[in-house]
Amino acid sequence: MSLSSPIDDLVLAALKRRCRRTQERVYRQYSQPAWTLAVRLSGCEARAWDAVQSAFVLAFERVGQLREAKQFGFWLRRILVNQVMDQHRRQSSEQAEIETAAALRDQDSALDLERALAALEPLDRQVVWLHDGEGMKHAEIAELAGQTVSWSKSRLARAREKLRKQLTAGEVPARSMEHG
Amino acid sequence: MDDAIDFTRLRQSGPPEGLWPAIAGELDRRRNHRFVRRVSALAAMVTVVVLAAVLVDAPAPPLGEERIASAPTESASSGVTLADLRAASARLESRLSDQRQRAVGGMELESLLWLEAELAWLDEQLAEAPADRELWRQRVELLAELNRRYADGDWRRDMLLASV
Repeated sequence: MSLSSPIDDLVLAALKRRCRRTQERVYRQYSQPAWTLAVRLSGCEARAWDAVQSAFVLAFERVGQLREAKQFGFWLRRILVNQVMDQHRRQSSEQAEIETAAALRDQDSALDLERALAALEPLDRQVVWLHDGEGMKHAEIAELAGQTVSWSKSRLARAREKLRKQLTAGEVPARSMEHG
Repeated sequence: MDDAIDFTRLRQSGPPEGLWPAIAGELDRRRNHRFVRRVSALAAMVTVVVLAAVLVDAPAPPLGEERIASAPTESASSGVTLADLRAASARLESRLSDQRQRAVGGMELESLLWLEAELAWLDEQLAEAPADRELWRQRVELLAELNRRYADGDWRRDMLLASV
């Protein structure tokens, strides 16, 4: 199941009627990919929680604006990415993120990659995940971030370079994986 | 895409158990908030409609008729003809028939009865001299005064003013 999976017209109609059972079913259908996307983009489970909660609430509240049921997944993804980016904008204006250096080093390459991704700057992380993880085009990413296509391309190149450098060096600082 | 980072090896973690209850709770909170907002808006709307109905019920001041009534009948330059006076009289009479249905306070009743008697006497005069402009002018003046008295004597209007 991915965020691009469609829902059918009956489900959309039930969502528009604010049927709670349908809302829960749709949440169960999309929560896994939505959660993964939010964690990868925000690099933190606490922020992912906020983003996913806000995204589903907004999606269920504004589903009346959606015309085509098959677009639901893309629409939800867009709302979720916007939530993460808004969070990042708010946090940037409030205070610099607190990063904790990891004392532990793990030999597991998946964990290394996860930590390297979490250690990236928020915008680098968002661009590289949206492009390489979600398969989005530069034009889409640029539109979501309110930037140009060349901005997205240069961010992507920089993010990939940083990721590779960190993975090669094997010195990956871990970002705090807060819960709740 | 050759240069792309391969993220497929990353472990997939599911959302925490408490996330759906949090979403459902937020949806409930917003629904309740919306309900309260709608009820408040409805109450405000009803208040506005009731107030508007009460205020619209009060008659508009008879400006046109007063001007006609106060115009000197002898002067041709005033431009007020017998037809104007009759039309003004008919308009005021029609308004007065509505006013007579209203509840009137005791204080106004006596003066209203006196004016009504005055009107009956004028009508008798006009029956004998239907083209007398001075009589028509007096009639318009009297009708305007009656309208004003009925409006002022409406106890509902008094209560409305007292409540402000």
